[in-house]
Amino acid sequence: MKVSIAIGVDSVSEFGKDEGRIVAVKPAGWKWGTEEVKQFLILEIDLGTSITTIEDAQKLTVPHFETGELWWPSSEDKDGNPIEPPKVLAKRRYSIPFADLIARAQVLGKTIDLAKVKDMTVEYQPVEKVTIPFANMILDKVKGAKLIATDLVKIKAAGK
Amino acid sequence: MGSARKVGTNESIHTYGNGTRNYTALQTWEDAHTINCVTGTTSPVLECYDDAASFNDYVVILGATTDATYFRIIRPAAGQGHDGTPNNGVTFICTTDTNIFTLQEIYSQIQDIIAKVSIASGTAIRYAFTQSGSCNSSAVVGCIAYDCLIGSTGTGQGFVIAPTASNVGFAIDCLAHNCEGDGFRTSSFTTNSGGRFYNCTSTNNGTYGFRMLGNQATGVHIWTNCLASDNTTADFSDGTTGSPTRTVTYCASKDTTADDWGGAGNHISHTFTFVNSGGDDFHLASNDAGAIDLGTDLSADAIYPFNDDIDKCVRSGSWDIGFDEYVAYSINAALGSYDVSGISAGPLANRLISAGSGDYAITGVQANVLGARLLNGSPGDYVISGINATLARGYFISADGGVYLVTGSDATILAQRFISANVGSYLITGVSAQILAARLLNAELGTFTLTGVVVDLVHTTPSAYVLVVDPGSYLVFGTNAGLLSVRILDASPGIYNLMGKEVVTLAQRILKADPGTYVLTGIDAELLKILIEYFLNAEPGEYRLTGSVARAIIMLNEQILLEEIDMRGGLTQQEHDWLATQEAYVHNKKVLVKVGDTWHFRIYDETGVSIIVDKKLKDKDGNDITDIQVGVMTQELASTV
Repeated sequence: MKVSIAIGVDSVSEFGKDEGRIVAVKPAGWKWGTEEVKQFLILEIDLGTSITTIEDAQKLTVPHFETGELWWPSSEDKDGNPIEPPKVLAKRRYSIPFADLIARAQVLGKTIDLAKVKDMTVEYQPVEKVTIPFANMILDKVKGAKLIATDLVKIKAAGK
Repeated sequence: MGSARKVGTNESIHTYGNGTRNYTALQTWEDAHTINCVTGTTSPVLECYDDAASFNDYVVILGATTDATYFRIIRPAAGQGHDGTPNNGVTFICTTDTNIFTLQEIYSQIQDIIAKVSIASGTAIRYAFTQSGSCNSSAVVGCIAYDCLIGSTGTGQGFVIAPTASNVGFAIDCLAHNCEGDGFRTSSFTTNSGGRFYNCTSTNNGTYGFRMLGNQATGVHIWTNCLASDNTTADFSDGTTGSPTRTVTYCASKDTTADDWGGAGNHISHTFTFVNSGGDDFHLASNDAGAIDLGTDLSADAIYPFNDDIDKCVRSGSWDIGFDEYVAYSINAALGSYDVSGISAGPLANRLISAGSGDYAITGVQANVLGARLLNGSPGDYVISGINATLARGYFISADGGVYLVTGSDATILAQRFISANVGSYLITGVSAQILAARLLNAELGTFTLTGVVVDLVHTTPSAYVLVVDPGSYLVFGTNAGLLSVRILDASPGIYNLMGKEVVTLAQRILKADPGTYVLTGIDAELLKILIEYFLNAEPGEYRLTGSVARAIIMLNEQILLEEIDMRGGLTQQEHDWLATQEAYVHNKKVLVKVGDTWHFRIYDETGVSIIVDKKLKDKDGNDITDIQVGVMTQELASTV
C-alpha cells in the first residue's frame, strides 16, 4: 500500500531527534498542514503488499525502545499487573537517510536541494508526488539495516 | 487558585485540524515542539479545531524539557470544546492499536478532549488517556473517554495514571462512560508513584468505575469527589498488593463500594439523577439527591487547587461530587462571558444558548457563545429582548413549532433563512404573519427589516418574485390580497398602481390567477390591446374594475346574418367614420330581427327598453325581405329613419 510520510529534517540529539526519522504516517494523498509542509519532508512510500492497513503502516512511527519492541507494549500483563513502559532512547526507530533519498530521487528524475529541505521556514516539497518503493530506503536503527519485506511482515504482526 | 486548566507562560499556539490548519497529525506537532521549553521560555500549545466529526490520530507527549511554568498543552480552540457530553466537540476516535493520548512529561496537560479507543483487533489494554513514565504533575482535565472497545482479547479503557517512581499525575473533571474495561485506574508499580482523581465521573463501564492497582506500599491512590454509577463489576475497586495508603474521600457510588477504604464523606447506595443519561449527558439534574452538595471544596487543595467543573463553570458553595457542578443556569453554556441581565428565559430543555461560534449581543451585553445555535431548545416560550445579533453561521432561529417573540430585532442575515420553522404563528416586531407552509421569506442574502413593513428583497433576476409563498394570508403594503394560487403579481413589464403603490412588474400579465375574487382599487392601467387577447387573462370569475372606462364595438359585416344584433353605447368619431365606409349608419339601440321568414327593423326608446318603431322590411318591389344585403338595408334604414 502507498502511504504519505512526514520525516524529520532536523537532528537534535538532546531530544532524540534523528534526521530522516519517520514522524507520522497517513494515507496516501494526505493533505498536510501549513506548518507540516515547512517543518517536515513529505514522501509517498509504497510499502508493497506486506502491510495493507494504515494502522499497521503507522507502526513505522514506533519510538526507539531500549528493549527493541516493535510496537507499544500493553500497559499491563495478562494478569492485569502494571508493566512499566520501556525506556525510549530516541523518538523514532525508523528513518529514511537523506543520502539514500537523494540518490533514489535522482533515479526517479527529481532533484532534492538539501539546503532547502533543512530550511524549516519555507515550504519545499520536491518529491511529495513521487511514489518511492520502500526497499532499501527505510533504516531500522535497532538492526542497523534497511527494512525488507519480511521485516514489514513482523511489524504488521507486532502487538497481535 | 483558579481553573483546573492551567495556562502556560508565553504560550506558543499552533492549530490542529484539517489541511488548512498548521498541523494535521498530533505527532508532527509533538515532534516539532519537543524542545527545551524552559530555556526557550515558551509553552507550546496545540489548539484543535472541530473540523471533522472525529480525528483518527494518537500521540505520545515525551521528551521536551518542561517545568511548572513552561509546559505543553493540547486543548480545543476557543469555541470548539465539548458541552460536557461526548456528543460534540473535538473528538479523537483512534483505530490504531495504541493509547490515544499518552503523557510522559512533567506538567504537560490534555484539556477538554473527547477520545474513543476503537480497535478492530488487538490483544493489549489500550486507554484513551494515559499518564505514564516521568509525568509528575501532568494533568488530564475536562476530558471524556467513551465507548472504548477492542476486538479480540484486548480491552479498551478510559484513563490510567501509571507513572514511574516519585511521579504523581492528575485527572480532574473527567468522564469515563461505557468503556469495555475500567473507567479510571491508578497504577503504582514503583515507589511513591500513583495518581489523583479529583471530581471525576465513571458510568456504565464494563468492569470497574475506579480501580487501583500496583504493588507498592508507597503507592499513591487518592480519589476525591469521584462519582461512580452502573459500572458492571463494581463502582470502586482495589486490586493492589503491598497495602498502600488508599485515600478515598467524598466519593459516591450507586453500589456499596465507595466507602470500602474508610475515609470521610463517602456515600454508598446512592441514586444519581442525570440530565439525560440515555443521551450520554451525565450532568447532574436539578433534582439529583445523590451528588449535589456532597463533595468537599478543593479550591484550597495543597497539591492541585482548582475551582471549576467540566463545563468550566466555577464551583461554589458546597461542591458536588463528580465532574459536574450543578448550577441553575439561565445560560448553560461553555466557557465565555455572559451577561443576561434583563433576559427572561424559560428554557424547558437543554440550553437557552448553545450557539455557533460568534459574538452575540444579548440585552446589550457581549457574549461569546461556543456551541451550535442561538436557540436550540424544545418547544417553549423564549423572550429575548433587544437582541442585536450578528450570526456567523447557520440559523437565527431553528426551533420546533411554537411561539417566539423576537422584539426590536434588526438582524442582518448572512445565510439562507430568517426563519426556518415548522408551521406555526410567529410574531415578528409587531407584524402578524400566519405561516401556513415552510417559509415566511425565502430570500438570498440581504437585509430585512420587518417593522411595519418594508421588505427589500435583493433578488434581481427579471423572473424573480416579490413574494413566493404558499397559500395563506399576507399583509403586503396594506393590501389585503387573498391568493388562491401561487403568485400575487406575475405581470407584463410595466408600471401598475396598486392601492397607491407603484409596482414595476417584469413578467407577463397583470393577473394570472386561479378562479377567485380580486379587488384592484384605483387601478390606472393603460391597456393596449382591448379587442384582441386579454384585458384580464384570468380563469372564469368576477372582476370589478373601479373607475375604468370600457367601450364595446361591434363590426357590421357579413355577420349581420346573426339572428339578433345588440349594440349598446355610443360611437367615437373613428367608429362613426368606419361604419360610414361600410354603408351602414346606426344610432342608439336598433335591432334587425327576423320574425318568422321576414326581417323586421326595430327602434327602441332612449332607455333601450320600449320599441318605438317596428317595421317589416320590404324590397323595392314591395316584397318581404327574407334575405338581406347591405345596400338594401341601408336604403331601408334611410327611408325608415
